[in-house]
Amino acid sequence: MDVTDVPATRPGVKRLIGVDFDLGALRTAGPRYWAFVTVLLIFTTLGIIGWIVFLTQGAGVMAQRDNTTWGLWFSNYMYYVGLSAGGLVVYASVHLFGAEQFRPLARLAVLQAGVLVMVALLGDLTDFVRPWRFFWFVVTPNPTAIFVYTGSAAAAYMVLCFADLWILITGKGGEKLAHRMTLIALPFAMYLHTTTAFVLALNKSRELWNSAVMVPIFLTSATASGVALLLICAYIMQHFGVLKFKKSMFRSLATLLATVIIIDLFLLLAEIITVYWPTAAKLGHTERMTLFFTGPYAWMFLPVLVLGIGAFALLAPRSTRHLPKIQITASAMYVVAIFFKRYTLMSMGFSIGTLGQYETPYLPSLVEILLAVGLVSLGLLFMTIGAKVLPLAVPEHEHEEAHYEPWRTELEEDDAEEAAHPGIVPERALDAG
Amino acid sequence: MSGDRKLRDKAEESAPEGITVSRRRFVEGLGVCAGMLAAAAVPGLLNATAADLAQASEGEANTGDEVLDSIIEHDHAINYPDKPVYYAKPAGKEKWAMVIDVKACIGCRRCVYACVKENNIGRNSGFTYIQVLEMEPGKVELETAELNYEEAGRSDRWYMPVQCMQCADPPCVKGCPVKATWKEPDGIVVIDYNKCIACRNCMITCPYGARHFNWVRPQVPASEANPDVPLEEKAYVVEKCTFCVHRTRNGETTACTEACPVGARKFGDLNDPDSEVSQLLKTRRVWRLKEEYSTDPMIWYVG
Amino acid sequence: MSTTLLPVRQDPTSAPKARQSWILTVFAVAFAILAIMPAAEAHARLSSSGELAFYPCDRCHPVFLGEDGLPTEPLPIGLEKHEVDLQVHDILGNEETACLACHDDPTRNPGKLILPDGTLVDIADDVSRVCQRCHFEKYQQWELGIHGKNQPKCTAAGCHNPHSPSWIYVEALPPFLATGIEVHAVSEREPFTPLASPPLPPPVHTPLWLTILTTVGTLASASIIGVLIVGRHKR
Repeated sequence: MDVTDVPATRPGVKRLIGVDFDLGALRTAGPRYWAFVTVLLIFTTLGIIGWIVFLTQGAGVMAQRDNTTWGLWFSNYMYYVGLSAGGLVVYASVHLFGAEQFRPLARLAVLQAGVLVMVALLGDLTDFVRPWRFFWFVVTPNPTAIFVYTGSAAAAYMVLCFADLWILITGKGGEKLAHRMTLIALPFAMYLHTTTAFVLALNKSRELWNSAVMVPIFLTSATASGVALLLICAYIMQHFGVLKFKKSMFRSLATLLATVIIIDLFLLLAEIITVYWPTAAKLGHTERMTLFFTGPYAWMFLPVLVLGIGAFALLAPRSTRHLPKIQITASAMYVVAIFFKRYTLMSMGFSIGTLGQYETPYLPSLVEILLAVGLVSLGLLFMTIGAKVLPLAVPEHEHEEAHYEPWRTELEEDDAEEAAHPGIVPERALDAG
Repeated sequence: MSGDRKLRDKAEESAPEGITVSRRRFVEGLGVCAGMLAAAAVPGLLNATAADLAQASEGEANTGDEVLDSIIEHDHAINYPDKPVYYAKPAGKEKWAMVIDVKACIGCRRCVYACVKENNIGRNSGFTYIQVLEMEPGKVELETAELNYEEAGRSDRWYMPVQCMQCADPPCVKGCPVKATWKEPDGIVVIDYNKCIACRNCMITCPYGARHFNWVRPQVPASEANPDVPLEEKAYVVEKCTFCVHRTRNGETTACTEACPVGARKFGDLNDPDSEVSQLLKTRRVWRLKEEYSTDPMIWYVG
Repeated sequence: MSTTLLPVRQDPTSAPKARQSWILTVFAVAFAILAIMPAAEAHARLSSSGELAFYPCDRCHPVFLGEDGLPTEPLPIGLEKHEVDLQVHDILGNEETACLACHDDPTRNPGKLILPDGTLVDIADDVSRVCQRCHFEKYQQWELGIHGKNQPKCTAAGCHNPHSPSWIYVEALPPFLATGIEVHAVSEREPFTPLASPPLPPPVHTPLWLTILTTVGTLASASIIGVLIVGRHKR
């Protein structure tokens, strides 16, 4: 089923705030679609029930305790904010760097970014035992507290993403407005994820985190995992026939992903060397970092290295980089690796307390897991329904409005090269241009 | 302005092929971003400046003693006005400090439990304000320290009690996003239990692990509850040692000082040159825990 | 407790019986106050944690009162019955001269301590003035209240064994959550059991119905997804 811009007169399409919501597509959706939506609804409902249990029975239902102060909600916050900012980098590169090959992804990327940061903020909210006290953030914010910056940035960024999506879909303001929105959105995404990294890094009391390299590591992990998730998302959309992309676009994404992964791994290596080098090693710092390799969560951190290096190794050879299997596997590996990385970074930070004492490792309780899974389901629900209802394909005339790029010829040559390889099913091109 | 637009379009046309944005537009865009960020930061900076001004005026000390004056001047108050501690008198002119004699401390933990009883710490809460560490001799190394020692009074170890240091430059106060914790003029760092949003950022920034969160509703046997100290209000918020603010502002001393059987704790007023803490700071070789973090703690160790 | 035999010095002239009984009475009264009656009421107030730390003089001087209220056993006079172990303070001199560093010659003034200027101090008085001879800084701190604060403000001998000074005696209290109090005297320089370390963090409580609901929901979702995947292949 091809999804293109539908005229308002088609039955089942409602026009709200300038956007054509194709509700008719929901009615014609098959039972498999609704089965999947049902699964998501089950988990979302369980998440809401878990949240109610938390609100009524107090914070004791969480597994966080006095010395493992933050839990799954915070590592998920860092993770989703990262994924969100990363996906937006792809979209922003269309306007800022003229990477026209990513233009078909534009709406999907912005939708993904907005949904992810919304899920991140909701995860923050689920940690408040008394959510109504949240208004103190607005009334008496503390300028030296980094939480204020990251929270306000996330909220503003969410609004920005959805506004950008609206502008993209409705076409208001045309290319110029979309371009200007990008100039705001991308630095804002960088700012958001920098402040998120600062929440951990700007603590002199926590030696493991108090390092300037946290910020670039967070930014590169975020970009890489966001790009990886976007790649997987695009493949899924293509598989279910919602959108159609060129193989060259996926190859560009894979190249971008490989580049950012290696930078990320390099920064991690720099940090490890700085901690362990004989002239730089401090007992407090080395003890804490050693837990990554030998502590209770080593089984979760070592895969970060294995999956990360493995993902790069899969994507590095140019001859195989175009294969969807390679791309999807590497992306999935990296998305999982970054989740493990955020989780271990946070929990290893607590494993040895400020008074040098080993703490029992933190494992999330059932309520916390329900909340996390519920939020993921909510995000997936948004994406699943959005895939049917929202016009996510970038129409032809937008491509034509873009400026002429000389490397299109190169891409077309690449496409011809790939078509010549055996085992590749030649694809119908979306447009003839 | 159409003239500008013509210029802009012309710039775009003459731009090198493949680049969709002219330098001018790019710089414009960056300027817009920078302007927005600056505009957002202005109220924050104003707030910070006001706080700094308040700090400067509080910093005057006049005990006539150089050592004490310099210590007191560092302890400027970070005040959020009109927020008295409701279960204690308003702050007087004192600057509370504590000196702990680690030669005398035998690790008996009587201070820990006197504090628990005095401050209505939940018996099910899983923490105590004071943590006594058993240290290896010859060094102040926390990584080899033991918190849950079962034998005390060992001659081959020394004992160091750690609690909220009521720092002069507290990272917890600076890290609280809603200003629910602040430093009173007499040096005590207090928490507004009604305002705390339980984000636990203060617990992350404290280098001494001195702040604790009530994950469960604190329970105290009715016969042991101290009526002078809040109990119900502390559910699901952060709490910490307050130098027994309800006692010390009434002329008494802290519960831990009173409970120490060997007199290892000395509590007093730095503004009074005759108090024991003032005398000890002037005459003995003292040191502080994690001095390198420059939080300026108000608990010194001697021995 | 090991003792060293001190040289016997006979009193050449026997004291009149009246004088002897007067000394005995003094001793009896002193020991009655120090050893038999609860020391808390006599000398000290309780510290705020409720127990008392005190050097039991009756470790060397067990006193049993007879029906007449007088000690049933003769109390040691002179040096012949004294076998005292000196540790640390044995540097004060060779054998008996070490005793004479603090105690007056018992032939002249039994039961009295002596200061360098000749002043006699009875053991029921402020014995700390004798300790002040060498430990003048500690004495000054004790007077100021810095040393041994909040303890029974009695003499130094109340906390320190004057013959083998070391750690003071501290009585151990049971772990925090236990009921009842047992009192043990703890000997010097030995580890003791302190109050227990902080209680464990409260356990995580997940309602049972939530666990059941989650299991049901997860199984339902897993079966739906299973059907989706399997069904797909059939196509």
